[in-house]
Amino acid sequence: MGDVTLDVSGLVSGYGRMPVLHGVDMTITASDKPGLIGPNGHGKTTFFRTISGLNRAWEGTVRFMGEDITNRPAAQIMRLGLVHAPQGNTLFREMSVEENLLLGGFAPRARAVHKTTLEQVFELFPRLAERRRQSARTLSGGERQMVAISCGLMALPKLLVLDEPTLGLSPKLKMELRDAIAKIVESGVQTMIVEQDPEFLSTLTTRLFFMSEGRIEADIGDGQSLEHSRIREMYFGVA
Amino acid sequence: MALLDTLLLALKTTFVSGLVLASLYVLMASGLALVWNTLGIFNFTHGAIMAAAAYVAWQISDPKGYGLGLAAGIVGALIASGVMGLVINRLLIAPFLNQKNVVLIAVMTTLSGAFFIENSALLIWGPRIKQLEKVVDGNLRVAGTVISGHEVVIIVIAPLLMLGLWAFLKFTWTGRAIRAVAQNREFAELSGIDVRRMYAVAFATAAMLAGFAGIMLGAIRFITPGLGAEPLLKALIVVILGGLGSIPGTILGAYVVGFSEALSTYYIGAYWTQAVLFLIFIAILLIRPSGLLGKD
Repeated sequence: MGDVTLDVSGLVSGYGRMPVLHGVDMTITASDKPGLIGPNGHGKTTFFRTISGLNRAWEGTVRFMGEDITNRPAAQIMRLGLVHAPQGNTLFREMSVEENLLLGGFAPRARAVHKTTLEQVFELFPRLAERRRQSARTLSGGERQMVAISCGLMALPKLLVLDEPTLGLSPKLKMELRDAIAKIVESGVQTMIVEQDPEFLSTLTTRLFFMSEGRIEADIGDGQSLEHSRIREMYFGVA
Repeated sequence: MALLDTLLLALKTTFVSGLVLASLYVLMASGLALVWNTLGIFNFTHGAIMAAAAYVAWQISDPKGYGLGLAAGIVGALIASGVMGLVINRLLIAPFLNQKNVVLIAVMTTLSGAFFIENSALLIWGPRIKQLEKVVDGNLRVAGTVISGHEVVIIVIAPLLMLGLWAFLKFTWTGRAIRAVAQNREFAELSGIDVRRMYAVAFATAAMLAGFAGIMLGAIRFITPGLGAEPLLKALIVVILGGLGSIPGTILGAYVVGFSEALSTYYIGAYWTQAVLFLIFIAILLIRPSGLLGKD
């Protein structure tokens, strides 16, 4: 077991008057390698936007490392170490790769060691080192995703949340990113990965949450194997 | 030969006066552009800040005020401008930032703020017109035309200040964060940047630029509460002409407007200058709707 990293209970949130999350419960301990799957439009991104402070929680609480962070400003939550790397199309488009990365390490705790972290990031993604002076606008989809993940790493996260890191990428790039993420996980950074492809998650995670219609419908823990039939059942309703 | 000499002299004269005007416009418009870039609003108190800064500088420096000398006056007025910027941002802009129609609301609040500042200046300093000392006394003969030392200072300082602004935005953590907030507010928040603080810093910096423009103006024009009204209009033209969202565009726009104004004043007459400016303005926007260096 170990310490509880993230503890979400009864989380309700949405846009305008439309609720998207209908009471999400999720507890993650330090030894978990969590993943989240679920079809499009069922609240995965909304869930992350809410725990990272971009959307307001209507009901429920979010605790991170024992601290109540419900509806705190995003910049504050991030400084506690809960770092949300959004989908790769949201970068500082008119800035260079290097400037994007430096801004990832803006918070004081990360800024103090930003030079070392930058080197580590370039080691993980050598392609970003080649393109450090290029503006983010001109990068390919895969490279943008690498920048988004790296910005998260620059912040020295205690829990790194990757929102669909392989969205729209080719199978080859997908494998490349998976290897990189595996290295991040191995290095001891707890990482929660959101994906639609359970196979992608199978090697990277030990605990899988399935989100459907704004709720966690299944929580498949360590030791339990993730059979294909189970997933098929969750997606299609047939065994 | 005589004709050629006259023509050459005319060109030199218009060049020098165009350069003075352009440098003033750079000072006036850069702050407006910085606020538009970062907060996405037009700040109509910009002109009023110019006037207020000139009054404060006068109050501190003039023998009829505290008589502490021009240097103290300039420093004091710059600090006052920065504080004014923080207050205006806090009272007139920050409360409405999360509203959907913040752009229109900010037009209303900053316009009323401008009236408030201008009339307060009238109340405090009265209707008698004042003038600041020039930074440097005396005149200079440059290329056959006479130019005041004060104007030389303006010509030299304007590009230096822009260089400083560029370096601040490019190389400091705060400057980078200000640009980040301008480009992607949410991603900036996720990066741990305090968006509201960056807005305040940007606004205060812009107010100090306005204050500096006001101080420079206060020595070549008479200080009245409306000192900044016409400069504000010019600054709006410059910012839109150069391209919204582009500080290099604003600088280019300032020089285009400055030289156009000097040329048309010399060859067509001061009476037509405004009309000519707007003609150029419309013509450029017809060809490039998003301004000279603006992005679509």
